[in-house]
Amino acid sequence: MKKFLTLILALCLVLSCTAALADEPLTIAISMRSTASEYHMQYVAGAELFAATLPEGTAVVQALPCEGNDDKQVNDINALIASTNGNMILYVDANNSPNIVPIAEACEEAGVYWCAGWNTPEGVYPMSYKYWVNFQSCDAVKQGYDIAVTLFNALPTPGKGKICVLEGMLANTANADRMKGLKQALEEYPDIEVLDDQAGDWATDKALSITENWLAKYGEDIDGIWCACDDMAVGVVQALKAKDLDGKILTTGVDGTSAAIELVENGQAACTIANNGWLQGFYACAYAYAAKTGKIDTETMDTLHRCFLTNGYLVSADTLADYKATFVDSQPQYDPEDLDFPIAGPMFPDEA
Amino acid sequence: MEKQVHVSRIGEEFKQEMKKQSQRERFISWAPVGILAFLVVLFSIIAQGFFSLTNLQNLLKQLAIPLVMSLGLTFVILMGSTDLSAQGLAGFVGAIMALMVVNSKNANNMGFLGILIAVVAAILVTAISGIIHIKGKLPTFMVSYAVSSIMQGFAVLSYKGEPALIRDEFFTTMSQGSFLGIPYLTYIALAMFVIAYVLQFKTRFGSYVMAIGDNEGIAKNIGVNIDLTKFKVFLWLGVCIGLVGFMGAVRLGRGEVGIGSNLVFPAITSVVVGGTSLSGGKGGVVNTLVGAMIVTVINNALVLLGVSPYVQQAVQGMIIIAAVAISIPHGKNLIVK
Repeated sequence: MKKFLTLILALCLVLSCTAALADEPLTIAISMRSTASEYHMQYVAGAELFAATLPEGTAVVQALPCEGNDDKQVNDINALIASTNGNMILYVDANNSPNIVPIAEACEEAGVYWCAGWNTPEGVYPMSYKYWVNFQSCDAVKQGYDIAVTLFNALPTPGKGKICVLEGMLANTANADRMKGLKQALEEYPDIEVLDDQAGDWATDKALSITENWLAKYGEDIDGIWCACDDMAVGVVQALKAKDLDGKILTTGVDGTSAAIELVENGQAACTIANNGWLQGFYACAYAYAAKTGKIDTETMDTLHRCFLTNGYLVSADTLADYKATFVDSQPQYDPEDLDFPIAGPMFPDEA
Repeated sequence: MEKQVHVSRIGEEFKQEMKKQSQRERFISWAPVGILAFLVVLFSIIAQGFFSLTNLQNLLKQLAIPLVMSLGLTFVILMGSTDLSAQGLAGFVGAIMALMVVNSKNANNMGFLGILIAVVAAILVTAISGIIHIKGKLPTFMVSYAVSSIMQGFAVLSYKGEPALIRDEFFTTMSQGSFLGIPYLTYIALAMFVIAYVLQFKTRFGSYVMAIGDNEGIAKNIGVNIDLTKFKVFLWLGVCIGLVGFMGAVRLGRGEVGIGSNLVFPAITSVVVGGTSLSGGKGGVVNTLVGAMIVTVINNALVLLGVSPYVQQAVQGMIIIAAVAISIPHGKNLIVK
């Protein structure tokens, strides 16, 4: 009798666990560096927008910030795969490129469809995997070029003047690409003279000190400061404010943080580029979900849909009102069925 | 007779040796000042804009935060310990302070009370980390690293990715204003230096810290209350980190976790370049002032010289190694770990 009761109890437990798992909503996970980053939080907001397109209660969004720790990123993903029993889709902005490989292997083994953005090792792309749906990135060269051209045209004498260049981290791919874009623009604008080039390491405080030092050396000879990201642009403007030069010497940014949008609005920055984390987060989820539900087949997808560039949004005085209407005053709207929408161009033009 | 001559010769040699040692010690104690003077003269000649009123104001402004941070760490280092909590804690102070004064994220307007609460929070955190170190007998290095991580997490949670922009007029005035050409923030740093000087040289607390750093066992035997003295050092550190968080938020005009980044190791560098021993018991706040000035001048001048960012950190590192090599004691019998 005892054995029979134990058997019944065990059966009940197994059935209830199975039922519980069957009822578990799909987990939509976003693995990124930090919740401290406004841009990274846009991925999560994009994923929530996507989750809202699914029947109510069928999906939950979970952010997995790794706070700059490679091991944590991989371990958190493995733990989530185990706890959801693979009932999940995933978007990864790898903390460092090599992290992509163990994540790809874990997802391949568990049958989890996923997408990645920004970082992957040279030669490691989705085409070699079944469950890695696609890889997307912004065109950082174009960003560097676009902010440079906008700045040059906004100088007191458009297309002519002296600028200082504030790079991000020297060893960083995004920084190197933005610098390539700046160099392209400088070739097209021969009357722009670069007074100095320094690295602010993406940090507001370092950008502030460097700008103070530039003002001591060059004073009002500076017409503009090309700055590689929004956080540093905030530091640049703080230094200019102290000398009452904000608005007279313009700067630039990339990322589209609310602080930088405010600088554009106040006439202190010529522009910033919103990377549009909403779009990246939304369509990463849309692609992974479409693959999971069989709407698309990764094995027959072309290279363009598996590796593509997304468009940023250049926010300047001319486009500020449009940007605010779309992204600040209301939430952006995307169609999960239109999977071509986020594609701004091929990552590998020769293979497209 | 021969024995008497021999004894007298030994005495003479001992006297000579003591004189040499005393001269060497005097040279070493003044070396950081000499290095600072040398750098100032050198950069005034070769760096365009270095010797100017605007740049002097820049130097004073850029000195303020590193000096307060270094003064906090000086007492910790003087007793032979080290502390890394400022990295996360200063960011936390800046972040919650920004959320309590007039800001872009909420309707708070607590003014000075907001500043006070944030600074007191920093003191409480370092007090707790001090108690864990003293009562739990855990190394300060590890305790403070853990505390830094925890506070960094709380800081990030407090503003969830979008740092609060400070709109409080007081902060704007503090950030950009000056009196007699000296920025307000620098007055805060100088006031902290005076307090630190009094603490080290005019109170028993200062002597006890030196005694603990020199030899904790002997200090205990002569009746120094080791635990209480260490606890007070952590309270002082909390005051300094709280002010650093406040000053960082003033400088940047917003409260973000990055306020504490890149602060701790440059501050330790300032303390050591100034001539304070990492093993404790030697040096002090005057050395720290000189050390912080040396580090600030180097950072400032490398930009003015237009040194390529690709080689800048290497140049900075080499100058610091040279400065430390000149300003710390050497000798065959010295054990360096």
